[in-house]
Amino acid sequence: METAVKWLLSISGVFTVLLSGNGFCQYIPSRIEYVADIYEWRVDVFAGAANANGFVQGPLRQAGIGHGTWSMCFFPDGQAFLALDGLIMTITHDRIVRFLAGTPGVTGYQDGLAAQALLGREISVCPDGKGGLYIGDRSNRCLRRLTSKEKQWLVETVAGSQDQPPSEDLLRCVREENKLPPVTLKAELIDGTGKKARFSYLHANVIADAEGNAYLMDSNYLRRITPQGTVETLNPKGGTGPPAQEEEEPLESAKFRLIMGGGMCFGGDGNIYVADRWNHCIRKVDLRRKTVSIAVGPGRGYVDGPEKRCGFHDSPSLIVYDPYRKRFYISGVDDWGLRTWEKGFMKTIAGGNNKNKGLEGPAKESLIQWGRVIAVDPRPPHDIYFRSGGPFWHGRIGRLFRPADHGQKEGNR
Amino acid sequence: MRHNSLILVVGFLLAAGAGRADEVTLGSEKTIVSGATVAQATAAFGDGIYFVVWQDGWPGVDATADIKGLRLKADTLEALDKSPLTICAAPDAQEAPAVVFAEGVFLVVWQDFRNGRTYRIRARLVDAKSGQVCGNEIAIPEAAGNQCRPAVASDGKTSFVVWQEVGNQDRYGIRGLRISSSGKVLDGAAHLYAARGTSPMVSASTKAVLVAWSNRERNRATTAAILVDSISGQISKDLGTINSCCGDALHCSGDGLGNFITVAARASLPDPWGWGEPGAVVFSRVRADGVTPESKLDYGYRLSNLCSRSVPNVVDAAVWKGSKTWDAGAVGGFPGTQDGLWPIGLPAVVHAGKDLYLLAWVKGSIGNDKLTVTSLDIWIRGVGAHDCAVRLADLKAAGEREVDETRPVLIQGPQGEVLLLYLRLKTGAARQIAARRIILGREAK
Repeated sequence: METAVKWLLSISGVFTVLLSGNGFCQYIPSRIEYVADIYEWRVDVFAGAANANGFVQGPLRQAGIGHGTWSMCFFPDGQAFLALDGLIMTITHDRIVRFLAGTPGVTGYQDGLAAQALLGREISVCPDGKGGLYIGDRSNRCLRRLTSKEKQWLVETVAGSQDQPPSEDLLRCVREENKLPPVTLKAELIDGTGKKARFSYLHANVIADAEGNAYLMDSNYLRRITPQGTVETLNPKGGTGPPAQEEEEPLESAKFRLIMGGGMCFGGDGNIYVADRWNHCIRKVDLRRKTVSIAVGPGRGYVDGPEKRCGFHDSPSLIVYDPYRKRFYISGVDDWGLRTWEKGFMKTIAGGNNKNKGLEGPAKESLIQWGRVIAVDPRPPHDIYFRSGGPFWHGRIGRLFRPADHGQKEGNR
Repeated sequence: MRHNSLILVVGFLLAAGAGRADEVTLGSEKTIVSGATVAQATAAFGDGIYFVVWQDGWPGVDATADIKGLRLKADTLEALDKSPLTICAAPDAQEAPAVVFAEGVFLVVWQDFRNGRTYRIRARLVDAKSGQVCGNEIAIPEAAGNQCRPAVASDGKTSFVVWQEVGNQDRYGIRGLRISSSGKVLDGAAHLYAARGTSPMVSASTKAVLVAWSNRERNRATTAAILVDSISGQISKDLGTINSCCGDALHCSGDGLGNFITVAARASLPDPWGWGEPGAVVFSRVRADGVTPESKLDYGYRLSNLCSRSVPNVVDAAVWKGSKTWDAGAVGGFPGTQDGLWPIGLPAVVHAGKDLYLLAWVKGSIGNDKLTVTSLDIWIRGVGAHDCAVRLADLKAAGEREVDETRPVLIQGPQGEVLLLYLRLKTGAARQIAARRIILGREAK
């Protein structure tokens, strides 16, 4: 019986993928299981005007936050930060969006005062644990840090250099699904300190541990950067490829297949969880035991359910841990819903159905195209923030919340 | 400040259709002002001088941005003022100035964040002859939400100020009003020109006033426009969408006879995965009779007509390496463009005389990570308004190595002259606002 169920589940996922034309998969949710309190959740617009067109400061829903927020994070006191192309914006405690670092509309590379700094495209941010932010700067191939000293914000490069572009071979490695040329680690990724270290392609986001060490998925390598800027590759014998057959494999030789993915987070257990996109699974990196295992999947098709049988319409892209509810939010490429992963099950908490008509309102009825949870508010009641494709959400950040937690019958703004 | 008296004469062959030679004299580069955070420069010409205004300072957290200006001699670009004039130095940020000349004064408008919560539009007059900042700030009616990105134009007497303002459901629309050369607001309340739209531009003459704006929904921006009655300030004709291809970084200019050109960009950036759209710069015309010849053009599936230049109003468009069109979405990632360059847009346009318009835009080299565009240069082209033909072939007007030249503005100067104003960015050095005179040949005179 169990074998038959497994077979049916796998077939449903295969059908979802096969129903495609020119490589574009038609979306058919194979199996949706909603969280138990789905009817209590609502979505609304948290930040971003409908048509601001570029970067504009101002009240939350009147601000222009560009064409896409690449990353969002919070300080413990609730101050929020948005990472955009060439610019970091902050949301003040009185809910005003302000420029914090970079030059609106200009990308580039320059350290110094935040007001004069130039940042690259497709940056990500996370708290560095010391009152500043780490900046994963993809287009400048470096890790940078934004710190506040004597009431001035400063941008500095911690490790890496934009002077050394990656080779065509390596870029193919992170871009092409079906062609996986071997990578010579020595030539492409160099461990070391400061500008002597070399990065190639920084994936979705940077994270940091309690000691202030930053972690990045760079190409298919997990790299740790100390606060002093010393870079160490944790899987130097790894590279591009599938997980090992064994349930657990040594971190040193673990392979990943990260193409346009590589979202990662720390779980409540101190382990790192990586959205291993083209292996179609979530990998758990146990830093203490130095092992890697599969935590969710692998699976294809939008399938909720037990963690080893669930899947993503296309593949997983981002993962965020919610320490307050002790669960993860996992986003899939082209998925039409926001999903949770807790206690061994993946479930849908918003959307899920591409026939939905709702935009703001009940979460179950909301139309969320390629929804991606990007942050959880550290302040009670710990609202959840997401971004999404689709006309309505373009240039906006959405909020997922329970009105009852705010003492309201209906959602507030 | 650095001034090189050497004048570079550049010859151009006209497009084959025109069959005549013309020449343009491109003046040497002149640094107008430098500073760590100078930005958003623009200028106006009147009474024989240029008045350059810019944003000086940081507009974000702990803002210092003020509005400053400097008068320049038109023939040498030498400063007439010993130090920059402070037009507004209120608390928090003053940003994105625009300026126009009318009857002996320059009207400067900007967006102002002095209340620390929302932008307001503010304006002030500066006497052209003395450089004195006149009187108090001009009170523009305030709204509940953000008012920002102002633009201004004049028909010689009356100035038309337009901006974007939050309306229903946190969506920006376009509003505007008229101000006399004495600084009197001529409309009791701002006119609503469009319920949806951003980044408006305005061009005015005694014959007609054009207001154009960007309509952005999702990834795509288009250009829409109206004609405004100069007597009442109200809409006289809704032109609808006049450019269905581009709407970013819009600029417009008129010939004084009621004909206009708008130019806009498709400000896409390279997508290393191969799913992106080409960067492009496209212009569209509004004729004095209200006809918009480019409004119905078809840019093709995946913008193939744009990239193959089979539509006549394309100034520039990236073309995928190995393809005459833009084959976006192919598996295998973005191979780069045929010439290794990418137009990032930021276009400007000015009527340069007779049938000639000058268009400027920014183009750079694609980094080998297929993600970044570096070594930004400013290019200029002359087009004829009647037939869209190229009158002056493409000229790299500012393209020093290891310096990014960006955000060009073109200002109509004395007859047969245009001022090119732009921003110079060099790693490790202060930013510079620089200018060059463009002296046109017989084609424009």
